[in-house]
Amino acid sequence: MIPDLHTLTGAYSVDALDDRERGQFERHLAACPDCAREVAELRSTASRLGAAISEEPPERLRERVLAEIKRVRQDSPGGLRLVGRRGRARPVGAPNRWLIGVTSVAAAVAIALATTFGVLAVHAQHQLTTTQGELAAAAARYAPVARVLGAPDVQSVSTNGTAGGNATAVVSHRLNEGVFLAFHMPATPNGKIYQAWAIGVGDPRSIGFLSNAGDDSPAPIVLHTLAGTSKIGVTVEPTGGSKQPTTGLVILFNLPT
Amino acid sequence: MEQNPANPERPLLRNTVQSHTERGPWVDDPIRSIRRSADSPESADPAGPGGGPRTAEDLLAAVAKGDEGAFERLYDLVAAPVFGVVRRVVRDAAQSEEVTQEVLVELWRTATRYEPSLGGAMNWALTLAHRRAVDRVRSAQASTNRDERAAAMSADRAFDEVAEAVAARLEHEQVRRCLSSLTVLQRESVMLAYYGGNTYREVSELLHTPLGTIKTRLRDGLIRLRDCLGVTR
Repeated sequence: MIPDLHTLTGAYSVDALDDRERGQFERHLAACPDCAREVAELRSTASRLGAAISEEPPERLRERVLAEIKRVRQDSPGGLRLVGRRGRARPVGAPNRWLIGVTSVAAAVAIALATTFGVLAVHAQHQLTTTQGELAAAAARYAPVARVLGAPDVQSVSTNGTAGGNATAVVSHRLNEGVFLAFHMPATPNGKIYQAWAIGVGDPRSIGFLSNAGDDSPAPIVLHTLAGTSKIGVTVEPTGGSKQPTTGLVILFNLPT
Repeated sequence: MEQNPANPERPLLRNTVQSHTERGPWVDDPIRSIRRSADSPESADPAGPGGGPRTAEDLLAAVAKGDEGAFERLYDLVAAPVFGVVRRVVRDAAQSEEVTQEVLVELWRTATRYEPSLGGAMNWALTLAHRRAVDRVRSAQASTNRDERAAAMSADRAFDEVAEAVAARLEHEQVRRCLSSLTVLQRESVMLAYYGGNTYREVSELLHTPLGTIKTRLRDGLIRLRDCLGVTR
């Protein structure tokens, strides 16, 4: 039992760790049965706090849920489970199918772009000046952009979308923060939106929606925890968003390291 | 009278007269709900005709076999607590409904992986609900200016807001009593983290207290709550 990590059982049990710490702690949990037992108890304790604030949902929710389950196939029973027991836990050792998808999509995108457009390259320092110019107007409105652009170690990367549009990410490892913007994206079908994902270890994490199909002054999406994120991707999802990507990537790029 | 070994203050009665705010077998620890189901077939739980599944755990086991009727009854047990947690953390009514729907459908989808040895079904559902609610606020706040929001909100206001809203709706006397047995800092840390959906880093900022202190108060506070509530798992 590592004393310092062990004290995180409380924060972990109430979902009060950021993504990076949660990852670290879950690795620790797998090797620490005492911690796992304590987490199980503290989670049950937290659930008692939750049960104490019950609130009847609207009746329409019942109808919606009961209708939806008729269309949702149940997971096949897993073997061993991850100790963390998060919602989308996978059997230990089983690969994340979506990530395999990402990897192959990434490869396909990289090849397509490299051969066809010759992009998907980290901007050189002089090109960054251009990016800064493009973003200057937005920066006035959006403090996070200014903050990242002002960081001494700012780096940027751009790519074209597979179905049109292009995207730029500006990151600062020192600030552990990044900003992502997509320009000139084709309009989504009715009832669909673009959802952006931070992709790294574990399941992709939603970082927000692109509000600006076809717009050339997009709202920036701020990536507050850069650590642990190696790629940013965008998929088309139903309005309201999905908790995990459900369609192919229309934008994907590697963040500068 | 049988005593609950984990909490001698609380008699482990078969036919406990539940207060009107307690809605089902899930309000107590899973051990008790399992015993109740085994011991008291006459209890007024939502049993199907012919003595179908009664506890949330039994229902979840039936759901794992694709039983939609069992899911409907499970819904009636867990939807209000799930919605309560999500609503508390997410706040926005429309988004809370969306997240609650996601959680309940996820419960259906992953029921096949539920193992009673890991804890009660209500615990399973509420752990998932809290996780998804927190995912939602953190990704939503990533597109607004979360840091500024947190900084602008004074610690006192943030805490008062959470505490008042929660106290007004804390339906279970025992939970209320146990919360009030914590030190002020333990209680504030636990409430801001669990009900407020804050990271412990944010709690530390809101309470102007060093990170390490919040980390240990959160743990100490939860441990004290665990012992007070008699949670065994």
